[in-house]
Amino acid sequence: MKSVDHALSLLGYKATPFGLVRIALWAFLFLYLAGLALPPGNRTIPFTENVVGLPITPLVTLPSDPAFIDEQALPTQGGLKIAWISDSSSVIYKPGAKFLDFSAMGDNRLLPVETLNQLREINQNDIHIDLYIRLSLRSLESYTLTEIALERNADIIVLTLNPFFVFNNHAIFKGNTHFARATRTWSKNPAVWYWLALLPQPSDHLWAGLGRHLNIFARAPAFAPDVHAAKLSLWKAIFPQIKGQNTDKLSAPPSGEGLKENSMIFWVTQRYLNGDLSKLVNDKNEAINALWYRQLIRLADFTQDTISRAILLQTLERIKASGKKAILYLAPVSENLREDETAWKQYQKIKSELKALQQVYEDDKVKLIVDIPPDALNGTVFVENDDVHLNEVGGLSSFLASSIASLTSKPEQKESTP
Amino acid sequence: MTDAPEKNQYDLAKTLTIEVFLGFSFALLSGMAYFGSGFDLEFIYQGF
Repeated sequence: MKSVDHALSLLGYKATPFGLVRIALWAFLFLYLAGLALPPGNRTIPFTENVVGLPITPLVTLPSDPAFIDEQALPTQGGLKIAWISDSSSVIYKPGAKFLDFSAMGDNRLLPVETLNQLREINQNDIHIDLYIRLSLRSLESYTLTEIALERNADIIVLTLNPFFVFNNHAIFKGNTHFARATRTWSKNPAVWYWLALLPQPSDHLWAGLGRHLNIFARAPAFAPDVHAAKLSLWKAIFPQIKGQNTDKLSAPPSGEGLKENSMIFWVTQRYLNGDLSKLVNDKNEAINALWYRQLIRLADFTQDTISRAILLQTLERIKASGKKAILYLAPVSENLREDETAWKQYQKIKSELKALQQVYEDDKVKLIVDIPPDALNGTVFVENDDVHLNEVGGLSSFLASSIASLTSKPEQKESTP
Repeated sequence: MTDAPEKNQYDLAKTLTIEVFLGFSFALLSGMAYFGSGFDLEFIYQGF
């Protein structure tokens, strides 16, 4: 059998336009029937255990879940609605921890929770936070989440810019499941329509269109961890020497079995990391985050026509056009980054580029915080051998709380009448 | 010379059966694709 076509011609089948329509209708019918058979399942939303009893709603799904966002209704009551979009730099690792234990994420604290506590201390009590945190959130996903936060009518957006990735064109997104939701969102902004053709696969447009109308696509993601685990076991059966990194709690490998250095594999296979790569892992084969991140920051590209810059500019443009308030802050880095002179210089260039954008976009509603005052970082402790993740938040939460409070306490400017 | 009615009915039934099978296959494939095939890009996209 040479091909499916060949097999069909052996059977005497001749495709006709009506035949293709009938096949499409059958496919649709089977998808519909499968949706009836699939029971509603409980979708797993990371960080749910970190916010129990708090006016915070985690919304971003597991990385394996193409839904991307748990589309639940916002609470109708509540005063200030904050949308907090961030990556692992907003997770405060439990004291002494060098890595996140995916099976016990509840042991870690979250910067938004600490900030909420600080806001309450300054009598800002009527607050709800839509929490859009995903580990390894990249700029394109941040853009999509910004659009979604605006759709959900957030009063203020707090968005983290990760210095190691903000101008990195090699890692603008992580994983491809986010496209099934993103295309629906991007289509609302003509300036990014070319992304629709460049980035997602054609099937993603189909999911974006069908996802809301067929039960199978709406319900199946709840079973994503099971599908993911099945896929991983298939991978391991075929290629026993490869062990996949797994950020899904439900299918996380038992402690000690996961190869932590897997986070670097993309960068190694693409030959973006230089020198003796064995020095980038410790004797337990765990990635030494500081060392390979310092190589990543060298990849920042400051030329004008790059995709990373386009994403950042569109994020800023959309916030500006919405008239909403926003705080975009560059995640603080450890002073230890100075140990690597080239990486430190690159970090300074990133700050200069952002300061140039600050001149263009900052106003009484939008704050682009590039330099967090040194006082605000008193008591901040970075994870050992890691320049960006935190063990202790120090004054950072208090600084962010006061920034939010000062921005939201400003009265709305009324347009003057002639 | 025309085919016997039985032959035509047989061909029609065969055609429709193949189309149902193809429809089912496309539905199954689209369900699998929704989660990503897992064999192409997922692994390479594992940058941290």
